[in-house]
Amino acid sequence: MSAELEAEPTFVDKFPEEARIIRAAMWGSFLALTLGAIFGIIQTLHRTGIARPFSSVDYYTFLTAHGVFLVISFTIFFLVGLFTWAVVRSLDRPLLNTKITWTWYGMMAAGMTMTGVSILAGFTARIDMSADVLFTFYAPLQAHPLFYTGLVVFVVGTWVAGADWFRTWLAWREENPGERIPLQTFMVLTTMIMWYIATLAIATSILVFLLPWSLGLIESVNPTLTRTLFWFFGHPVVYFWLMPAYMLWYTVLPKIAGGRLFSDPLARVVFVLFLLLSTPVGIHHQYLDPGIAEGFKFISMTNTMFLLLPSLITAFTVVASVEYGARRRGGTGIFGWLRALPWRNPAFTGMMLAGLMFAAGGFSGMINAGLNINYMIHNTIWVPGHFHLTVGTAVALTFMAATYWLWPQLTNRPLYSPQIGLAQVVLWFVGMALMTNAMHSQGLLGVPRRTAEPEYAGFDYPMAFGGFEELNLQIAIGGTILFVSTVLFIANIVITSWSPKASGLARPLPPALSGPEDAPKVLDNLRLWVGIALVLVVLAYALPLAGIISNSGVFGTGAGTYPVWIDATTALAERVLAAITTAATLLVDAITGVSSL
Amino acid sequence: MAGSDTASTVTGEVNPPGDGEPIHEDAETEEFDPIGTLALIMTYFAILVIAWVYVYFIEFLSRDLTVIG
Amino acid sequence: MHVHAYEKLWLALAIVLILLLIGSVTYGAVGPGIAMVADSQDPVDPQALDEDDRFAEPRVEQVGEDEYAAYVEAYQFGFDPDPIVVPEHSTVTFYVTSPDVIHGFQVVGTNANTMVVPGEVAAITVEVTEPQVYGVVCNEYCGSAHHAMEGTFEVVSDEEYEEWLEENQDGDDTEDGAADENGEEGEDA
Repeated sequence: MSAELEAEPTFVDKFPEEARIIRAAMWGSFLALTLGAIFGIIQTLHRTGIARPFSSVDYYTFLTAHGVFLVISFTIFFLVGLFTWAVVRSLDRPLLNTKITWTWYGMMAAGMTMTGVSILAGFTARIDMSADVLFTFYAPLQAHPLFYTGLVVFVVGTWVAGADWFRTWLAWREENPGERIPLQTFMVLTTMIMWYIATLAIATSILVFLLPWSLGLIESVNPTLTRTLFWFFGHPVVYFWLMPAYMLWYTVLPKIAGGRLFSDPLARVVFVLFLLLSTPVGIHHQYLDPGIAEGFKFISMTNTMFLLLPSLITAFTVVASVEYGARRRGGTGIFGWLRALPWRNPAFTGMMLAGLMFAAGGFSGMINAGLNINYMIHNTIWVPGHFHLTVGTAVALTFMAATYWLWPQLTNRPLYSPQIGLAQVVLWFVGMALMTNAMHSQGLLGVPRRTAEPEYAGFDYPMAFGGFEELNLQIAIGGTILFVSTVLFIANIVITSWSPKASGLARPLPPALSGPEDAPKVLDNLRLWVGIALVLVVLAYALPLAGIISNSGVFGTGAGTYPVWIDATTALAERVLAAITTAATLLVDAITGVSSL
Repeated sequence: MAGSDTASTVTGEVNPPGDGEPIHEDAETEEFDPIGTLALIMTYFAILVIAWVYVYFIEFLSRDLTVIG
Repeated sequence: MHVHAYEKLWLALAIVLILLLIGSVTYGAVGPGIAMVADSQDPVDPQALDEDDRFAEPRVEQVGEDEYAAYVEAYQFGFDPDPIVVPEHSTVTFYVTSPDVIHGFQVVGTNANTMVVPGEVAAITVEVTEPQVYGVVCNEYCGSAHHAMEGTFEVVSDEEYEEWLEENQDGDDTEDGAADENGEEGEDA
C-alpha cells in the first residue's frame, strides 16, 4: 500500500486473502478448460474421420469428459471466482469468514475430482468404474455411484458459496442501512436465487432416484421423470453460465470501451427477468418426448420466447454503453463510431466478438425453442452448433477476455502478452465461426449429435451447403483452431506468473449513466422475486410432473438397469459384457462395412 | 474508487481513462442518444425476421414427412 | 425509471418479434396441422414387450385404406423391423418404444423425429408420397455402439409392396428376415 499516492490499490492489495481464493477458483477453471480442450480436439478429429487413434467406444468417454469438465467445472469454477470478486469489490468489504470460503472451494474441488475420476476411469479396464453417460446422464443408462456422489458434493459446495455471499451482503446491509444493493452484488444474489431453485430438482433426482438406484437400493427409475428433473435444472444452468458473462458485459465492458453502463435500472430488470423465467422453461428440451402432453410443451415455449426479452434488452443496453464510450473517444457517424473503439485490447475485442457470436446463437436458439420446428433439428448436430456459440463462445470467450483484464488486478502482475491475447480471442472467433456454421448446416442435413461415427452404411445424407464431407473438414479445421487458441490462452496466463510485479494495475469501475437511484426500490425486494419465481415454477411444473407420475408411477413401469460401468461382483456384469461383445461385433461389422465402400 | 457502484450520485466522480487511451471529455454526457446502437440493432432485427421466416416457412415447412398426428 | 426513447422502441420491436415466433409456431400447428408427439399412448412395461399386442411382433400393419401402422422397437443397437417398408402415397403412424435405454428415432433429413423412452410409446403420423429410401438413425446416445444403430425406411411402389409382402410372409413372425426375435442380439447388417 506504499504506492497509494501514485496508484490506486488493486483488488489484491485491498483484499489479499479473497484474491487468493479467487485465483485458486480460476486455476481450477483453467485446468478444466485445458482438459476439455484436449478432449475436444480428439473428438473433433474422430467424429469427422480425420484421425481415429482411439476406439469409437472411448469416444463417448471423451465426450462425457469434454461436456462435464467444460460446462460444469470450467464455467462454474470461473463463476465462483468472479462472483467472489464482484461481491467483495462492489460491497468494498471483505468476506465474513474465509474459512467458510475455503470450505466451499474444497467441497467443489472434491466433488469435481470424484466425478472426474469416475469418468476418466472409463479409459482403463483395470478399474471397474466408468461413467460414459454424457453430461445429461439419462437413466436407465447408469454411471458409477461415485459420478452422482461427486455431483452432489459439488452442487452443495456451490450452495455454501451462495450462502457465503448472502451473509457478506447482509453484513454490509447492517453497516450501510438504506443503501441500494450495489449492482454487481445484486446480479450475484439474483443469479444465486435462480441457482438454488434450479438445483433443487437435480438434487432430488440424484438423491431420491439415481444414487440409490446406482447403489442397488431401488430397482428401477422412471426415465421420463428423471429426464424432466434434469431439464428443470438443465435450462437454468445455461443461464447460470451466462449470467457471469452478462455481469461482465454490463459492468466491465463499458469501462474498457471508455464509457459507462447506459442504465443501471434496466440491468436490474434484466436479472430479475432471468430469475423469474429461467426455470419454468425446461420442458422445451423435451418437445419430442412421449409422455408429456402437448399443452405443457406449448406453455413452456411461450415462457421460453419471453425469456428472449431480457437478452434482447441486454443487447441494446450493452451496445449503447459501448457506443457511449466510443463517442467519448471521439467516434462519430452512424457506424463510424465503431472505429474509435479499443480493438487492440484483447479484453475488449474478446468480449465484443463473444457478444456478436451470441447474437448468432440467439437465432439458432429461437429455432430450438420453436415447438414444432424442433422436429427439424432435435438431437441433430445443429444443437451442439448452437451451444458452442452460446456457452462455448458467449460465455467461454468472455471469461477468457475478462481474465486478461482481471488477472493483473488479482496478482499485481501485468499480462505476459496482450498481443498474443488479441490473437487468441480472434482465433477463437474464427475457429468457432467455421465449426459452428458447419455444425448447423450438417444438422439441417439430419446428421445426429453425440455419435462417434456420423457416417452410416445404409444411406447417404442429402447434398446441400457443400455436402457432408466438406462440412466435416470445416468442423475439423475450426476445432483445431479452437484448440490452438486455448493453448495460447493457458500459456499466456501461466507465463504471466513469472511477470515481474508492477503497480498501477488497478482498473476501477465507473458508475452507470443512469444510476441505481433511478431504479424502482421494488427491484431490490429479493423476497418478492423469490416468491414469484417459485409460483411460476409450480405453475409450469406441477401438472406435468403429476401427469408423468400418474402415467407411469414414481419409479416407472419397470425400466431395466444399464450400467455403463463394470462391477465384476454383480450378476449384471455378464449382461454388460455380452452387450459389449455384441457392440464390438457390430463395430467390426460397421467398420468393415464402411471401409469396404 | 473500487466499489463506486454503491454511490448514489454520479456528480464529481472521476472518469478513469479507458485503459490508457485518450478520452474526449467534451463529448456527449447525460443527453447521449445511442443512434449508432439503434442502427445496429435494427439491422439485427431485420436479419432475425428474414432468417426466421426463411428457416420456418421454407426450410422447415417444405421438408419431407411432416408430423401430422 | 428513465428509459431512453430508442430503447422503448427496441422493447416494442422485441415483443413484436416474440409474437411473430409464437404466431409462426401456432400457424404451423393450425395451418399445415403439425402435431407434437405427446402422452396419447398408454405406458408399457419395457421388459415385457413380448406380452404387448403391438410390440410382441414389431411390424408394419395395414389399418385402413392407405393407412399403415409401424410398430417399431428401438433397442441397443438397432431397429426392428428393419427395413420398415410401406407403399407409396399412404399415411403411416410410427409407434416406437424401447425395451432398454432412451433412444432417438429420426428419419434422416426429414421432420419425422422423436425421442424413444422405455416405458413410453411415441406415436407420430406422417404422409408419404413417392417411392424413396430414407435412412433411420438413433439420435440419442444409447451406449457404446450407439453409432452403429441405424435402419432404413423404404417407401415403395404398390407393386413392389405386394411383392415384398409375398416374399416376407413365409418367414415366421417378423417382417424382417434378418433381425431375430431377441432385440439384444439383433444383427444390424
